[in-house]
Amino acid sequence: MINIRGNWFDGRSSRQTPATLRVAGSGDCSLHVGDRVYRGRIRDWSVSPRLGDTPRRLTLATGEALETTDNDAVDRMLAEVGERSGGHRRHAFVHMLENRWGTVVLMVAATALIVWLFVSYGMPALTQGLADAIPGEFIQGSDEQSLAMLDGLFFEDSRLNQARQDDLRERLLAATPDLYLPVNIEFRRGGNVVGANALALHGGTILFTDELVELAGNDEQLQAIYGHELGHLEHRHALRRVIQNSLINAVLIFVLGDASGIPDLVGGEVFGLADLAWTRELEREADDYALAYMHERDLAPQHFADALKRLECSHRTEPGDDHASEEFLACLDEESGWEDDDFQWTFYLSTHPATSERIERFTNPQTDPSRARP
Amino acid sequence: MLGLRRNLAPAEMPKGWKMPNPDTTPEPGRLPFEFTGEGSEYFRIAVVNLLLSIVTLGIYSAWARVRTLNYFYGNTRVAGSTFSFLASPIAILKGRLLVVGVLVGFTVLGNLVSPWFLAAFVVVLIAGLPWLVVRAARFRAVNTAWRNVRFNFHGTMGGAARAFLLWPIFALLTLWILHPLELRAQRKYLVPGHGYGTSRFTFDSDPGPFFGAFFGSVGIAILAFVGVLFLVLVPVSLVMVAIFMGSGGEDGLLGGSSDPGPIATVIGQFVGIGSVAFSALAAQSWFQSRMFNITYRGSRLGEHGFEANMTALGFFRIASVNLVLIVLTLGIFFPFAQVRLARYKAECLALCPHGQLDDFVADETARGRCFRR
Repeated sequence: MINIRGNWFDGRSSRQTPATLRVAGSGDCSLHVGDRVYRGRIRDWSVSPRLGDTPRRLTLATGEALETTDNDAVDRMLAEVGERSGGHRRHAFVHMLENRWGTVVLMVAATALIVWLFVSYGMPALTQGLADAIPGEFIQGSDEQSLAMLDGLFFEDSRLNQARQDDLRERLLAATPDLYLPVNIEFRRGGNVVGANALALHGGTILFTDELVELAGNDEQLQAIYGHELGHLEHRHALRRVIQNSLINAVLIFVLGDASGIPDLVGGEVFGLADLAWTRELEREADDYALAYMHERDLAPQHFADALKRLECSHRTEPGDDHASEEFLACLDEESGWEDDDFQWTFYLSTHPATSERIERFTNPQTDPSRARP
Repeated sequence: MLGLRRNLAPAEMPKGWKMPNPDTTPEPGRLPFEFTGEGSEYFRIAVVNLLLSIVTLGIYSAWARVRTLNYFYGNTRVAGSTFSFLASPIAILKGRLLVVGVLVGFTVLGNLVSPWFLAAFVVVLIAGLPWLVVRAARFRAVNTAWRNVRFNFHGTMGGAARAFLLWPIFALLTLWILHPLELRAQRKYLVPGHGYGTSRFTFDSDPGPFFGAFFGSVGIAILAFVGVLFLVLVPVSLVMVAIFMGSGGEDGLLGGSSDPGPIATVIGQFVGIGSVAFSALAAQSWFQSRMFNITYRGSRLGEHGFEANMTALGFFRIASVNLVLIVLTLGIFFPFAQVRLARYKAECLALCPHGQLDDFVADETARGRCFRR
């Protein structure tokens, strides 16, 4: 016989009355409210799961409830009457996990491990799978709005003369392999924010800024950069990024949502840092593609190295209007003197691999394993 | 008493039995709220919630939600009784699946096919806002019980549209000068919309305190930022200039670099973020404590009133320690922080009964109308 003391609520009013539920091993029970006694079967009551030391509720289907703080008595009672329904077993298991520091420490470690595995392997694999599953026809030409948005935020109309644009476009399109979607080439003025740069949007648009076209020493260098952007396109990098950004929100809300609130604070940061590491991976992939592309078209890999060096020097010095300032030329002449200087430490927070490392691959392609690709 | 008869065969039931006579002693004048949860206990619950949610790909998060709310409700006590959260996790899971489905659908379509889908999403979201407000408030209220009697929410969609669509737009048009009136309108909609059993809440408050809460926090934000700027940022910059410039290149204090760039930038960023966080926290402390007091002091449940005496300094002490420890422990402290805040809030609140607390009568429609299971 187990006595469970608590307060009796009839569910019709807020009145509380001290009461005792006496349960026998046979499952017979009696409720003692004041000086009155009622008899019944314990299986007619539903018992709320144990949760820390919060009061338990023993409820009848018609809404009356006994609330008790005597959690241990309730547990003993459940054990005695042989309550083995799936629900109670599950709840008891959860409480067992919550109640022991040993399992809690294990669970913290397991959580960290799972999050790490998901961020570094699961998410990239998932986005890659989804990106590969999307047919080119579905997204080709879908850049119009993205482009309009970028125009509003960063770009101005190109100031290159039309003949130069047409000439370059024709040359590059002629040197375009078959991809999973048609390529569209655009020119824009990057201005102070973007400067000399090229980017590949997910719908097949490759965009060059005027500054990059002006900075390049020759058209071969531009074609080399084009090869790199084609790599981004063929490997569906922009598409993967778009998918990943959509997924992160959903994953954070659904899986972690309000499980505890921890992920709201930390989740964003974890994905942010992993994202940067991932971005460097993508740049390497695009570099691999560029290398193979140039090899296929008998374009010396040195052109890509030269283009990178000019870019790097334009960041480090004042190149002057026609890229002929003494400083700039001196930087170009320098025999990779700045390769291992103090800028290396920012590597972990930068989106691209160290420039010197990239240049090295294109200067001595024979030493690079990815050279083996056709 | 139908249910009792059906489920318990009365042993010696006298004719026309009823509950023992109600205790007729009057309630004391002030019944403080009390929070009895422990950080270490809730931490374990939160960790298990998190891991099980991850392992079950989010399915468990609905159960986790119910457990979390029940932990905080079950540990919140007033007049000797705690609250309980009675929602079915399945209902929460369905709602969450719907939200995620819509969110993923619109973002994918918006990013891949046309941004017009995103625009459409925003429109749908705005149009659906009153419905969401009413539904969320009702779900929460109907599934919250004290002494086995449920709360209820009677607010209308029209009222929600006024308080949560028209007022924000109007406040924006006045450059947020009338934002305090928006805050007041929202409480005048939400609080009287709620009921406990068949009793209703009422809300009554002058506009003045709302202006004090909002513009006070704006003023504090500005003052705190300017103060930090002159007391911290300027001295720190001067010290850094002295270290990097004065020590002459190769022998710099922080190791060999004549370039102050990276390290100075990092220190500068930390100090900058710190001072912004300090100012924001100071402003929030004022705003949150004022709003807490205004909301509860203006609310009545039938004849019963509330007493609220949160102070900006008290809130700041709790919130700043929470923030620092959360950052230092990379989030591990978060469950402890939630418990600290809940305990502080309970300490600041009391129920001032006017007559019996036993006489609330359950609203029989509250449960039947929606969300039965």
